[in-house]
Amino acid sequence: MIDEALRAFLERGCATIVGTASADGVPHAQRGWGCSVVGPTTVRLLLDASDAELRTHLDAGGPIAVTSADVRTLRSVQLKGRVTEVENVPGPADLERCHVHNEELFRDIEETDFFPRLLTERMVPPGYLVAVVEVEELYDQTPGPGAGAQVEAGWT
Amino acid sequence: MDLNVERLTLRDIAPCFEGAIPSVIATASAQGVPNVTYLSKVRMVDDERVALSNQFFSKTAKNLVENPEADLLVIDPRSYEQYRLHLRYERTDRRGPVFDRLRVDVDVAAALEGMQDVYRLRAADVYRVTDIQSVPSGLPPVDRSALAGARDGLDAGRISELSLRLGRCPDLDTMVQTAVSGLAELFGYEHSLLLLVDEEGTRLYTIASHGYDAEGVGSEVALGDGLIGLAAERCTPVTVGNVTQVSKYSRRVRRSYEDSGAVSPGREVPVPGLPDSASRCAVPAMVLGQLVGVLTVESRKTVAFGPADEAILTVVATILANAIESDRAHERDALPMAPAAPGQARSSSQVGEATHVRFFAVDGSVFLDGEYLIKGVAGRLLWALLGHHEREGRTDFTNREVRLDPSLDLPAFRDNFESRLILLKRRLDEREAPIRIEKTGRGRFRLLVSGAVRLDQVDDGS
Repeated sequence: MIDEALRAFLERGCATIVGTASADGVPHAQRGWGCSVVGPTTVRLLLDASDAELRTHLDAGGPIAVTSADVRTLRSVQLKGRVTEVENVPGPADLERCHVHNEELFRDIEETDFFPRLLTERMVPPGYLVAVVEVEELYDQTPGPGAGAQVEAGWT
Repeated sequence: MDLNVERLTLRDIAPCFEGAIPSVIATASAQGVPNVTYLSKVRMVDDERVALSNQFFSKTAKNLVENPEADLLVIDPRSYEQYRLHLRYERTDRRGPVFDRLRVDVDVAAALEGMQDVYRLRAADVYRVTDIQSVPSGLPPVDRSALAGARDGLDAGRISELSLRLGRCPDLDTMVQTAVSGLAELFGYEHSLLLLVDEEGTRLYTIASHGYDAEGVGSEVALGDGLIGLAAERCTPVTVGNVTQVSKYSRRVRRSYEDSGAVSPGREVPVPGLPDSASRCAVPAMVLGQLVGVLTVESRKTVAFGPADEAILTVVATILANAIESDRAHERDALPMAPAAPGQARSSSQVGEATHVRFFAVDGSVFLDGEYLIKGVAGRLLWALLGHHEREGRTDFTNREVRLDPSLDLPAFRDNFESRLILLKRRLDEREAPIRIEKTGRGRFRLLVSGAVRLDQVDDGS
């Protein structure tokens, strides 16, 4: 499901956001801080460890939506799936991925939107956790009339 | 409203709603499946509500029909502090003031890329805000009192001072320059343009500017194109707090429309102004319900302008519009004046290398020594003046006699003669041309020609 092109897209410094929901359907938005593709349908996400509501939703193994957007082009993809595992302490590879992601993200914002790192770094959370997500569906979320169309023929 | 212990209000975080940084919204279906997406614009409706634009009938809209709860993340562009707003969907507006306000935002994005025919607001979704929380950051908090932002009030004293200065101006040329200089000196608007509506009422041309490397007098924009054209077409102030972000979003949407075949590729809308402008504000200059022009300011700072700036600029634009219209009325009503004294016919044996003046009758464009100078009415005006100078040696003219020249093709319903004369004078000054225009009194001017000129008319535009 996640081809090489999509893997490259997801693992670079995309602006990433996640949506979860409580058992009674109350949605919750949060930002993501790096993504590693570890299988054809499996990704590891770095998320804000200080967000108690997010943590509750993740621990429940509920559905999750992840949208990643290229800051320079706004090309965007949404993954929909389910949380299969939560790790409280990210490993060295996760933290390295997070570091590379943040560097690329802040550089892209500074170069295209002219917001200095001094400001954008304020979005970084106090700490991270890892959520392992089993991806079930892919959607093209690029702004425009085709936003929301399911990605079936690969990410080109 | 049930707010958390910090008791944040929508007004406290108003800069978050200027559209400088995309917001994030999460919704969920009736089955609890979440959806998360970026939003280009969230607008504050009142102290308890926000409105979100809905252009594409997205999954978000579908979810809200099933489940009215939504979660929104917004960022203050001054500090990058982040806030979480819990929302409950109330209604969808397809007309009315909330819809109209969001429609301007969407229309600005469309106008920047020439997508007015296909990209438009479908609906405005209105939500009640039930909770606002500050999102923790890994970095220390910012001193909110030290944050810079848009002007937050009108300074009556400075407005009065600028009004007095404008009132003392003896002619339109002085007045437009005093206006843009005064906006910089008294209010700190370092980059401003004043554009007037052309004779056909379809385009705007720049008649005065301040704070640009190239003065840009004579640059044009079509009504409806870009922020300036939109302010003119709608006769309403238009402000954008992050031009870069809006432009990038517009280009992406346009590409999607091109991929779907809804629009053809290639259209670009040139806009006079700073190439790296972050904020722009354009207000219409109106009198007696008619659009006369547009006054616009821009800044390299994000979210530099707000409602107070729109108010200040509207006052100044209205004063200018009244003065311009008054001047036109005076010209129309003036008694016939004695024609200026004829001069000596020019000698063809003037020394020095002649300036080559090439005139294209098809569009009135004039080139000096191969370089474009001006076109349209102003170009035809210069050509007519140089013709009189060549044939009769005339240097002194009256507005009235010249404006009756049928070759200028001035429409009776919108006689812009004085404005076009100022435009021509400024373009010649800007180019440091050997041909200049000098005002010699109310309704009178002089053509100054240094050295010889060689006139060359091209009739077929080739």
